Amino acid sequence: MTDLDELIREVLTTDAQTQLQPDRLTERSMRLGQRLRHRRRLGLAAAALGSVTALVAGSLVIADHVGGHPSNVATVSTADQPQTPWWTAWPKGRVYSAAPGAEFMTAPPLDTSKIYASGTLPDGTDFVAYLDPSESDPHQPQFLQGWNDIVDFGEAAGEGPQAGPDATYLSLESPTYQTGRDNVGTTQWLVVVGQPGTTSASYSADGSTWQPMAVDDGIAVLQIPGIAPRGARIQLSDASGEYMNGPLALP
Amino acid sequence: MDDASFQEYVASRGQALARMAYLLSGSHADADDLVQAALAKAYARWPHISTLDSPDAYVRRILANQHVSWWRSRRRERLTDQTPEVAVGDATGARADADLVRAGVRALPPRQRAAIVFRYFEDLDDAAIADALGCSVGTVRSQISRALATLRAQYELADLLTSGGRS
Repeated sequence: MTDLDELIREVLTTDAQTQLQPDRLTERSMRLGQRLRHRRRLGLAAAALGSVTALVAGSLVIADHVGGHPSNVATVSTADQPQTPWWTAWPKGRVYSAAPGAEFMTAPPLDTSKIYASGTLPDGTDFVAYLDPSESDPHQPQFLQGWNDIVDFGEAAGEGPQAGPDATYLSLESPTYQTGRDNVGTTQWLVVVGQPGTTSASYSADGSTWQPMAVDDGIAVLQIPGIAPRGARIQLSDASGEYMNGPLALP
Repeated sequence: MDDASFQEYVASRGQALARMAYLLSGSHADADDLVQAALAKAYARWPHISTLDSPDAYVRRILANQHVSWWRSRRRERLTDQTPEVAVGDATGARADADLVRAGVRALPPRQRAAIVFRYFEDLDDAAIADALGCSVGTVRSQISRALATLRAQYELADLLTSGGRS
């Protein structure tokens, strides 16, 4: 056989020649894109309207934190990197809402997606964890993060045993990678959205040594090197004690 | 002003993007839809994208995500409609080798296929592929490694069958 690398290159190059640029590509793309822009403007207007509600909700969260509840998840910091995430107007924390499709302009069709949590990673990167019904059945947790208005798609997590937009769940686990504008790091952020009332979470790469995860509003995050190994486990507890101790359901 | 630069971008890159879409989707009709949908999304955010050092990287990411999303939503149909055919019995000569590799690439999972296309057609390095696929460099390497292992195994099996196991 010819060298495989060479053969692949040759086949792809040959096949590519058979594809012509679609007729009126520019015109059609602009027309469709114009509609998307319009939808986006409507979405942003709705978000701006909703920001009043978010402001009130945010005040309550702040008041709650002032009241003594620990919070290890940092708020948005503009000190190191200027951030202009396009979901800035969204409330942080648990959301449990259907996402307006216009908010996900560069994502798959998501009109019925459910947002489960949004927040800010300790490094300042904003994130949204959501379930996308178009991805699979059962739904897979997805992860979006933004940096300077650039959306990075995290890895799709494994199919959680109880994941579903309307289902009661133990946890949604979604990994991503610490990314910047021009580079991709090798450090993974593991985000676990525990059930409401989750007070502590721990991660173990080998099932014996445990690391506490920062928990805020039942959303746990931890920075881990590389990819979580197969034997990794998660432990979650609420006021009544441990309610989950099982394998990390990632691919 | 935005429109002019978008038109210029499509004029210069439209054909290449269409070809990439074809390699990702494996279907001329799907490629038309894919590249159009990706460019529509790009146009919607063009005021931002046009300011980037590499609009191509952003559009490539849209294309890759759209491809993966469509593949997932259509995979059940594809499983029945487009089962890749591997012409084992005719696997002799360079053309048969090419057919085998072509079928193998089309049968790869979407992210692996995308990684292969970006590596071998676009000549992107691992970091650029990772950027396009929204994953780590390590994941890119493992995706490409798995894809090559699959293609190699398919070829070796076909070679074994056609040669009567003489090798």
